[in-house]
Amino acid sequence: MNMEHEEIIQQSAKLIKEGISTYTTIQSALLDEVGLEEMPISQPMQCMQDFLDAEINGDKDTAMKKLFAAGIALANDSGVLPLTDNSPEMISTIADDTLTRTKVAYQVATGDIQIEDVTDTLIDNAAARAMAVADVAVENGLPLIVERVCDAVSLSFPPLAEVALLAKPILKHVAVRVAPKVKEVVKKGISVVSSVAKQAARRVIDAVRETGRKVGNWLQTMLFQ
Amino acid sequence: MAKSYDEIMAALLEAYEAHPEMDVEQIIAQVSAEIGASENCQKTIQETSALLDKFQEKRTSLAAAHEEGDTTQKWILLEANRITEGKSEEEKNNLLEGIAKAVNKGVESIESEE
Repeated sequence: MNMEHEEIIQQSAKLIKEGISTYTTIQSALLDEVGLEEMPISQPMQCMQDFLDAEINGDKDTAMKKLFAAGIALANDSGVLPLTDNSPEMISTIADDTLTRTKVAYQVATGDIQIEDVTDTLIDNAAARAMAVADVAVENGLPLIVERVCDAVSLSFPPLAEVALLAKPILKHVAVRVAPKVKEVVKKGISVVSSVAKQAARRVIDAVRETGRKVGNWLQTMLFQ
Repeated sequence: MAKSYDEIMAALLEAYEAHPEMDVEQIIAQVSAEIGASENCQKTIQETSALLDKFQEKRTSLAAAHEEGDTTQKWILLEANRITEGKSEEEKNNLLEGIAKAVNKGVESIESEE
């Protein structure tokens, strides 16, 4: 392997890691607890409590994620949940990410994990998803051309506004199926994680503005209200 | 009449809670049939489930890499090498550049005026 090639791949890996860090930071800032206020309390389910309590990224998580992903797909198919993109990559990414974030928030509030570990957990999850999508695409014959790879893998980094929109109903369905005091713990955890992330996200936004680029009104409203 | 998203999620979660002996894919298939999911939707669900398994596989690999003292960045490189085994240097570069571009596209979505 020549030096120039080595430098290119090291630089690309660095850009991937840094980009994922920025993306996940802003996403954390968007997960807000406000929408949990109005929900009715329904019958708590043991499976939901077990999901929240289980080790983050353990094998038990995948079953719950499959249920929620199927729910999104079925609702879209029935015409009751419009999606701009209903690809398996987008649906699996949103289910995986939102449920992981909800668990992380809960376990921050219970003290099972430290707030300092949240960022690394979410970055690692996003990196794992990106490489999984790339791996499957290449296995399925995707030509290794930059734009084709970009198009395939970008499905695992959906537009942040869309993620924020779809996260709300997922979060709602977790919260209505746990005991009221557990819902309060989830709310508290989301508030803590989002508050820390908002500070970091604002620094990102300021840096973007300094380059002369504009930041969308939707994001300014969510971060600076 | 189409079920609402809330009704669909309730059906899935209640079936999952009531049948711990059943595999989650069986539960999903059962509820999908009751709702009358299209063939296209069933295919999407199967592919989505397969991807979720793949995500978990990669997370396990990344966790093992951390145990060995490797960083996430290094794991990304090792994975890229594995995915492009037998391919040219240009193709390896293209994979990583393509992924970097995809991430950047996600970050740039903060500039949307919506």
